[in-house]
Amino acid sequence: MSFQLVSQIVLGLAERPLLLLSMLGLLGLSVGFFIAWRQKTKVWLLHAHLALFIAPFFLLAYALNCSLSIVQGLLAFCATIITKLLLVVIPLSVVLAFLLGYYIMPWLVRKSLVARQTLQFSNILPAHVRTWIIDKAKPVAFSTQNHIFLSVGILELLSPKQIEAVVLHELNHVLHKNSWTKVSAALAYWVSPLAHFSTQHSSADEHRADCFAATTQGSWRHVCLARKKVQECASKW
Amino acid sequence: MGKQVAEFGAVLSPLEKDILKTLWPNRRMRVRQIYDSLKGSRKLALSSVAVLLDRLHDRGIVSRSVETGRGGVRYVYFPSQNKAGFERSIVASSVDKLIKHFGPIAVSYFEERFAK
Repeated sequence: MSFQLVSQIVLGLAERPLLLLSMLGLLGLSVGFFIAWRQKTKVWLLHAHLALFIAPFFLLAYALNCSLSIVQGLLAFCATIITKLLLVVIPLSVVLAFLLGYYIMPWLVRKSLVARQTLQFSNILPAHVRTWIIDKAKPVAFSTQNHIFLSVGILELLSPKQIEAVVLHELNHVLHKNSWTKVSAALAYWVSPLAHFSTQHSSADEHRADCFAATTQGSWRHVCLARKKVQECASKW
Repeated sequence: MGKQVAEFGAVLSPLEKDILKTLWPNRRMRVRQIYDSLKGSRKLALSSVAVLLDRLHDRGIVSRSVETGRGGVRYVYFPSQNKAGFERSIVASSVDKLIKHFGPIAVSYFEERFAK
């Protein structure tokens, strides 16, 4: 049955050369945006790659319009409304995912945590960046948007200079909007096969953040010790 | 069996046992303070003490509060129960498990045992 379906799709495409060219063109653009993303590290390039990767399949579904008999048989109900829903639902999902990842989730994280803003980093942080302490014994530190989160555990584990190194590291992620890139990259990993070749992005971001902390403090000692202590401790949890 | 329960060997690891003995009867201590009091008697890492305290907290054996001091924000741990209360809870938990698994057999055994 799958062979019959594939053969029908291939024959259908062969009868519509313009559709086939459009799909190949979109896939080619998708590859181009992926290559640009790997070089420029701009998150909108990643989203353009994802959109152009998914677009040919929408185009195919819309063009076919569920006219294949075998598809009708499989679905038992197949009409233009399905393709229209797909064309609306998926873009809507992307928008909702953006809102969820960029606004709602960070807000929920802040609301759910025992958070108190610390002021001791005001000499190294820009005014728009806030630090929050979360009620967690495991040493963790992360950032979203303009917020840096430190667990009580990491404050207990590290010395003041090492904590400063961690804050500077996270500040670099904030300034480069890496948290949004990480979320987008995770989404791309599930959707796009090309994204499986992009793991070095996060490593490059981490190294750049370490460099920023080391340069600001004038020494690699604190950031290296902090990373070592956190990794050793986190492995015990 | 009685000695094992009294020494908590079946319930707690040796380090967990030492941590609880440090906190009993009702001391409030930070992770580093507990670590400092134990490091003389054995080789251990601060992170190991932190992990075990977190596990004891998850099991409800110790409680903690977040306190802000001159050194920053820290956890302060204290026992949820005194030693007698903890022993009682272990016995209660063990008996409940026996009854749950063996039902009337366990109950009749207890009746015979305590009738003697």
